[in-house]
Amino acid sequence: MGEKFLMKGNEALGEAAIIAGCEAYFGYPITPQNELTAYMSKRMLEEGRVFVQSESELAAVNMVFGAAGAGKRTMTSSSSPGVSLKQEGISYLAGARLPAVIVNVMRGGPGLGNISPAQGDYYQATRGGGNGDYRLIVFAPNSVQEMADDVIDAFYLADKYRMPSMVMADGMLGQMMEPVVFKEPKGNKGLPPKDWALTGAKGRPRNIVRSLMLGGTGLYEHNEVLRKIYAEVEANEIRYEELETADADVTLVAYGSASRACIGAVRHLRAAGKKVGLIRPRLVWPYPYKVLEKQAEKSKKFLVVEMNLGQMLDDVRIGVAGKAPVEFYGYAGGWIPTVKEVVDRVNQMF
Amino acid sequence: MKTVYKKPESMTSATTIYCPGCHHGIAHRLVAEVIDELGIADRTIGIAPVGCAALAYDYFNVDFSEAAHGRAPAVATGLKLTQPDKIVFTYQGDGDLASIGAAEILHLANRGFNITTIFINNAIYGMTGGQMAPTSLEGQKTATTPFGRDLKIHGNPMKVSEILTQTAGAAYIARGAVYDPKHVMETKKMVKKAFQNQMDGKGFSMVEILSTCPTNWGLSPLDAVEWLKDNMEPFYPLGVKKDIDQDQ
Amino acid sequence: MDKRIFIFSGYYGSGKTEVASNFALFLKKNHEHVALADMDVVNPYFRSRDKEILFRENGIKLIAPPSRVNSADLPVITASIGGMIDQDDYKVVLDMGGDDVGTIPLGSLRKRIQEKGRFEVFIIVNVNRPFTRDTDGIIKMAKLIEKMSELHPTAIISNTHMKELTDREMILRGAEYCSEASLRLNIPLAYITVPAFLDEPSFRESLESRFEGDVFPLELFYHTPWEEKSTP
Repeated sequence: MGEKFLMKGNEALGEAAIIAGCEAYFGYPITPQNELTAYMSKRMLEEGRVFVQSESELAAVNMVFGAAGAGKRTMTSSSSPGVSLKQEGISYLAGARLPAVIVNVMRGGPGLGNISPAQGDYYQATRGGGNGDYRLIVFAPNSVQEMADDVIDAFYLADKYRMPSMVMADGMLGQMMEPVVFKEPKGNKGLPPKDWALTGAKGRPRNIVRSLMLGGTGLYEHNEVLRKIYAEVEANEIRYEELETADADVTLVAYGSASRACIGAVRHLRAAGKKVGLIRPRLVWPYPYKVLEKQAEKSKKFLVVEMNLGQMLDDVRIGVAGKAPVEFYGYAGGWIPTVKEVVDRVNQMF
Repeated sequence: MKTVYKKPESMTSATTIYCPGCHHGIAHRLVAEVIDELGIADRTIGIAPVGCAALAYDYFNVDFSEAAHGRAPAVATGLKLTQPDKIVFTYQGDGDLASIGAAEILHLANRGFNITTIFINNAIYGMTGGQMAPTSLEGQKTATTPFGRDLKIHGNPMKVSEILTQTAGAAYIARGAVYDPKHVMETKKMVKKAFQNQMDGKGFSMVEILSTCPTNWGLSPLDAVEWLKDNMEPFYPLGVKKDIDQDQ
Repeated sequence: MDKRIFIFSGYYGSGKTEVASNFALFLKKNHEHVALADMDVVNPYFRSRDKEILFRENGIKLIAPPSRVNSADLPVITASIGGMIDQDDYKVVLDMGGDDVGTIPLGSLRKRIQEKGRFEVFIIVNVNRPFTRDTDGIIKMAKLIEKMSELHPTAIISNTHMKELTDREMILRGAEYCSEASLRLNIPLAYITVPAFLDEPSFRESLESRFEGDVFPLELFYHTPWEEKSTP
């Protein structure tokens, strides 16, 4: 560790999973995340771990369900249309309380869309794209380094709360190259034992992994357990970054690739004497509503920048709660903001 | 007094919710007897389907996972590859395996992973109220073929076992029935072979069991057996369809 | 330089497209007709086809799939590449996709290239990349590419960098590994790239005195949108 590599985001996701102790990876080809599957096809076999190129995204996520049921750290990855196909399995993972990591390297939609970077799956990731009341812990990295760090944390938090987690990147982050240093994983310190895993009922009563809760108040009680876990996650795991927010008249809110241009814009506007700051959620579920609420007490205006038609915008409005106007700047279908565009847009707000 | 008949150790004492005359209960018992006889209960993991056997884990006294409709072979793949020393089996009906899960079972068989599948074919969707299955026969009346299955409108019934014999990875494919003691004994041998193959690392093994659904067929248990013999058996002939030990 | 066809191959992210683009501009200084063919069917982003204006302004013919499919990942190899290879007055730069897989499309042109002769198969190496961190890794890659493309690599280009964090020590280290690999593969180390911000006479001298290859200064054209110089 400590050694610096130059890696594509997609490769960093893979190596981080290996470092985090991912014992089984299941993938299916789709651009722009193919380097991840290719990387795992080499490295997982080198490590003597499980790699399967499945027959479909459906099969991949259900193979993850099996490996997670065995108590193993496991991951699958795809890009937007493929992640849509995985929603069935993700809902089952959440219902059966199985930890697993799902990676979405987002591309343009709806439908087949195109292979350009986009952030159109924010609703799907944060609201639950599958059926039922459930949540995923959703990481929103904005660099190759954060992609690596987030995969390691995603495995840890999934195990800690017995729920699936997602690393939500986009095609630009997946394809671009940046230096990365892999951090030491936390190991299993502080994690609950996986005494529910299907390892054969030797010397113990049988274990059952299921989301089906027929009869009586079983499903109601199960959902109350989920409610309690999600409340715990919301209490413990809020992660965000602030840049120049203390005296900001205009506060930008952005995540992932879109936040890179916003960081440049804040620096440029500050140099020009304009009081502009940025709040960057590192996790988009749980969401830092209270941070926005507090910021709304001092900031006159908010600008949400997203590579979609306005999805996180809803969360910012919830956080700001009407205390300040919230404006939006974003397009869908292959657009990534440049520093100049964001600066021009912010200047309109003064 | 000598005990001549008792509940297998691998079954719980729960009473099944299967309808009178349904063959799921017999199929469950055969699997449990085989698990007992092979002494593998403490390392066996079953996967329940979506269908009438969705609650199979209530009746088997071994570790069990559910699976989304048709995905049992994928779940089994995840469980088996991460724990090659465990015995993993799926228990699936015809809607689950032959329709929505056709891709998963075909690819599992073709990969030839060491997994055992018990396939219950009763030519109908039992759980959801007797709709047409891929295995429903020509002329068969179901909730969605009220005038009988018309091949021109509804397409052809599917012979899954015969199809799977064509996969390179299938080690053993057999079709049995459990409507009388003779067939119960023959089918048990098939089930045992399908589990033994997994223990010996021979590859994918599947036993299809022709079964009744008196409720959705609208027949008495005895009439259902006659209907199975007269209609299903001619179209789905019993016997071993592929056995790499014999075919070599 | 009497070579006519220049094939740039190497692992994902070794810098093929950046080096090939610079190389096409370098050729243009002394030759009227230069073409650059985007043969990348593997990588959907950071492709030479995205720099259409750069090449047009410099009088370099860009051969790339039609723009109507430029945000698809259709593996399009335009037929005009073959025609270009047959035109003896053209210098042709072939920018391949990454890894051994990325060189598969060469197969369809291999015979024509071999018949024409006077071609160069460059292996681009960045030792900061995961699978080419040492001499063994470089040799393994060269052999894989040869196996897949059925074309024998003819020279190595040392392109070790860490984007804006590149330093001179890193370039030296990369050149050392490439030099060792070139001896073991029995092919020359043709060039050592140096980004414009590190290029100075004394460093050039020290590189060229130590290594067989020439220094090849590199202007960086491919950026993420937020790195583009379009800042206000």
